[in-house]
Amino acid sequence: MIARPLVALAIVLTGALLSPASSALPDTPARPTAYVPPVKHVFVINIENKGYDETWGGDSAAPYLARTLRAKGVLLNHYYGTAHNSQPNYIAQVSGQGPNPEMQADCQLFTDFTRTSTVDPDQAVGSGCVFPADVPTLPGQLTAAGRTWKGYMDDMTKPCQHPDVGAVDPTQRATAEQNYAARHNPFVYFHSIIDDPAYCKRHVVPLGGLVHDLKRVRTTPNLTYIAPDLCHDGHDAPCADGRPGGLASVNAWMKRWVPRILASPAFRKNGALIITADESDGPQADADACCGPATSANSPMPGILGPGGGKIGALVISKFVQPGSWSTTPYNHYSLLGSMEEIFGLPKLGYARDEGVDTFGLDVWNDYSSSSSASPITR
Amino acid sequence: MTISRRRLLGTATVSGVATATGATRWLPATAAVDLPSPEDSGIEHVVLVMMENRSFDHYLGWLPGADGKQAGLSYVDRHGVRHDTHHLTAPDGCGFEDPDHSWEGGRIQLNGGKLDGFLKSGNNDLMAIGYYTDEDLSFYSGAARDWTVFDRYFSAVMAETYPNRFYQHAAQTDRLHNNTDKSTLPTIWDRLAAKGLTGTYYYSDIPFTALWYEKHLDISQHFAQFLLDAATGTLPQVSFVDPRFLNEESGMSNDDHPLADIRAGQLFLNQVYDAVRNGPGWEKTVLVINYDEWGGFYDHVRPRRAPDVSKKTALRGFRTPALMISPLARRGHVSHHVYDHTSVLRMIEWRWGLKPLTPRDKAARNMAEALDFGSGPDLSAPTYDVPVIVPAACAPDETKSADWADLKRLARDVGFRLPR
Repeated sequence: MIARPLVALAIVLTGALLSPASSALPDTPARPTAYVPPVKHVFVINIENKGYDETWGGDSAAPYLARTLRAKGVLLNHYYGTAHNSQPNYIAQVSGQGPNPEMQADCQLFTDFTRTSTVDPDQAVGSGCVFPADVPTLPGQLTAAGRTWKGYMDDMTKPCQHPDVGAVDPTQRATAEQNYAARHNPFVYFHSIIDDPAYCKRHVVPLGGLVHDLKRVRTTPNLTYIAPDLCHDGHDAPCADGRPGGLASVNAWMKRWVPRILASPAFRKNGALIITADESDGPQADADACCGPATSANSPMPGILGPGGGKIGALVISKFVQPGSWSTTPYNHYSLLGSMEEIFGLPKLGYARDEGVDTFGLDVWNDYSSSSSASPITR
Repeated sequence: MTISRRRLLGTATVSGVATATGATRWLPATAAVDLPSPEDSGIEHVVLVMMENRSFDHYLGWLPGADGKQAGLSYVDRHGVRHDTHHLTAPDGCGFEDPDHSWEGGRIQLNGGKLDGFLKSGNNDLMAIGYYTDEDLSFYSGAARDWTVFDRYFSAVMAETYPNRFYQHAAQTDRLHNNTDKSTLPTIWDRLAAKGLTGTYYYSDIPFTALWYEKHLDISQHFAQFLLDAATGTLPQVSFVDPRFLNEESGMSNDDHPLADIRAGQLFLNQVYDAVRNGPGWEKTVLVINYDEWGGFYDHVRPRRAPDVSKKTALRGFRTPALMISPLARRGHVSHHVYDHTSVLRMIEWRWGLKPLTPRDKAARNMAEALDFGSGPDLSAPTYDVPVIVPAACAPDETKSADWADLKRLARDVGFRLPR
C-alpha cells in the first residue's frame, strides 16, 4: 500500500516533481536528465500578442502554422506568457528575470536598470530596462560554456541596433520603412551584451544572415533566436506599409522561413524548433498564469491585470517529438528557458528555478526513447 | 430464453484462460441475443445515475471474474521514472492533482494504443495510477458482486465531462471541452416528449440540462423529488439522476470526481439504490450506474472508434465502471460486451420505440441484452451497510476553478431554481 507520502518520497529519491503542488525540499538533488534528448540546436520563434485559440484554433488565420506545421510537432496547449506587455516575456525567455513596471510598459525609454538589491531567485530589484552587466543571461551561459548563439532580428538595419541608453526608443512604432522593434529583441537589454559592441554585433544580427548560417551545421548556432518584425510577427494589422499584418502576415512569413530551418542540416541532425507568442492579445484578454511565481520581485501583477501573460500555446518540432501530438502539462517562458538550459547542460537562471516552473519532459520529447529514459531509473 | 447462461459461462472460461496465459483480449460471445418484444419486457422505468471520473481498473479492477488490473502495472512519468500502480490509502484526493482527462490528455495517455501515458499528461501525479479495492467501497463491495457489472463499458468519447454528458443526453457532443455555450442538440428528452412519454432529469445541485438554456427547464427536478417519486411509485419512464458536482476541488462533492471523498459517492449511490428497490415501481425498473469518463485514471484496455457524427469524437474514452441493477438483472454477472453511454439510450429507444438520435446510438449494443428475461423478475435485493460520512474539506487551492461554478451561474440566469 502506498500512501500520499510517496509523492514526497519520490522527490527525495529521484528529484522528480510528480506533484508540482508540493514544495521542493531543500538539498533536493538535481533532477535526472534522462528525459532530455540530445538536441544540440534550438530554434526559437516568437510571434506577437496572440492567444491560444486565435493562433492554434480551428479558425486560425495562420493555417500554415496552425495546421501544416502543427502536424509536424507537439502542441503544448497549456503554455502561458509570463507578463504583459511584450518586452518582459522576451526577457523571461533569455534570463529568467521578472517584469518591472517600465518593462511592462515595453520600455518606452531605453533607461538603465537601477538595481537596489537582489532577491531569490537571482532577481534584480529595481526600475528601468537595461540590466547591469552582472545579471546572468542564457547567451552569457552559452558563451561561457563554449556554445554558440545568435539573435536574428527581422528588418533590423544594422547589427546590435538599439536605442541610445537613456533615450526614447524610436522603434516603438513601425514606419513604412522600418518594422524592427527593439522591445522584441531581448538581447539589447543587457549591458553584458551591448557593452561589448563587437560581441553584440556578431551575435545580434539582421535576419537575412540566417540563410547563410543555416547552410552548414558548423555555421548554425546552438541557439538560433528569431524575432520577426512588427509586420511579420502579427503585432501590427494592417502594417505600417499597408500589408495586411496579423496572422495573415505571420502565416506568409512562416511559409518563407520555417521550411529553411526544417531543411537545414543542423535542424535535421539534432534540432528542435519552438514557435510560441510573447503574450496573449493583452491584459484585458487574458492575464492568467499557469505556473511559477504569481508575483515577481518587481511587480505584484506580472500581467498588469493578472498574474501572467495568458494562454498562448507553443509548438515544438523535432525528431524527438511525435508529429501531431499533444502536451497538456502547464509551461511558460521560464519553462522554455529552463528547458533550453537542460538541453545545453546549464544551471537554471532566475525564475526558471522556481519550484512551480516545470521543464519539458517526456510529454514534449515524446518520441525520445534512449535506453536511459525507457528503462526504470529508480529500481 | 435459452441464451447465454451457458454461453456466458463458456465465455468466462475462455477469457480466464486467455488472461492466465498472458493474453489481454477478452472474447465475448458475438451471437445476437433474442430480446422479448419491448412492451412485454417487464421494463417500465429506466433510472440512470451518472457519476464522475473513475476508470474501470482504478475502481473495479478488483472484481472477481472481470478484466481488471490493479497491482503489478507500472508507468513511466514525464521525467523517465517508472512507478508501480498502488493502492490509494485515503478516501479523498486531498493533496493530489486532479488527473488530466481532456480530449488532448486522453490521447497522450492512449499514446497510439500503447496506453502508457497516464503519468505524462497535464499535472498527473501518482494518484492517476492508484486504485481502490472492495475494502474502500462499501456499496460496490456488495453491489458489484451481486448485480451485473460491465467490463467493456467505455466512456462515449475520449474527452472530458461535458462532451460525455452530451453523449448521454444526445448521443453526440457539440464541443470537445467544457463550456457554457448554448446547446441545440436534439436529446432523448425530445424523443420521449414526441411520443407523449415522460422523462425527468433529477439534479442534486447543478442541472446539466441548463446547457440547453431554458429548453429543458420543464423536465428538470431536484434530487429530493426523485426520492419522493421513487417512494410513491410515480417515477417517469426515464429518469436521469445526477450527484452533487460543486466543490469537487475541495473534495466535498458526492459525484466521485477527484478530489471527492469516495465514501460520499458510495453513500449517494446506496441512497438511490434504496429508493429504487424499496419503491412500488421496483419490479419493473432497470437502474444503471455509470461514469461520465475515466477521469485520467489508468486503464489497461484500449478504446476503439465507434460510428459517429464526426471523426473528432469517434474515439471512445477509456473504460468506466458500470452496473445494472434490476429484478431482471443477472446476479453476480460480468458482461464482456462493448458498451458505452449510448447503449443506455439504445435500451430506452428499444423499449419505447424511439428513433435513434445519431449513428452512435443507432449502432450501440442495447444494454437490455445483458438482462435475463427468461427467469422472471427476482425482487430480492440485498441491503448494503454504507456508513454515513461527512467529508472533511481539502485545503483550498485558489488556482483551481471548476467549470461547475460557471454552469451554476448560467442555470440561475436561465431560470433554474437551484436547491439550497
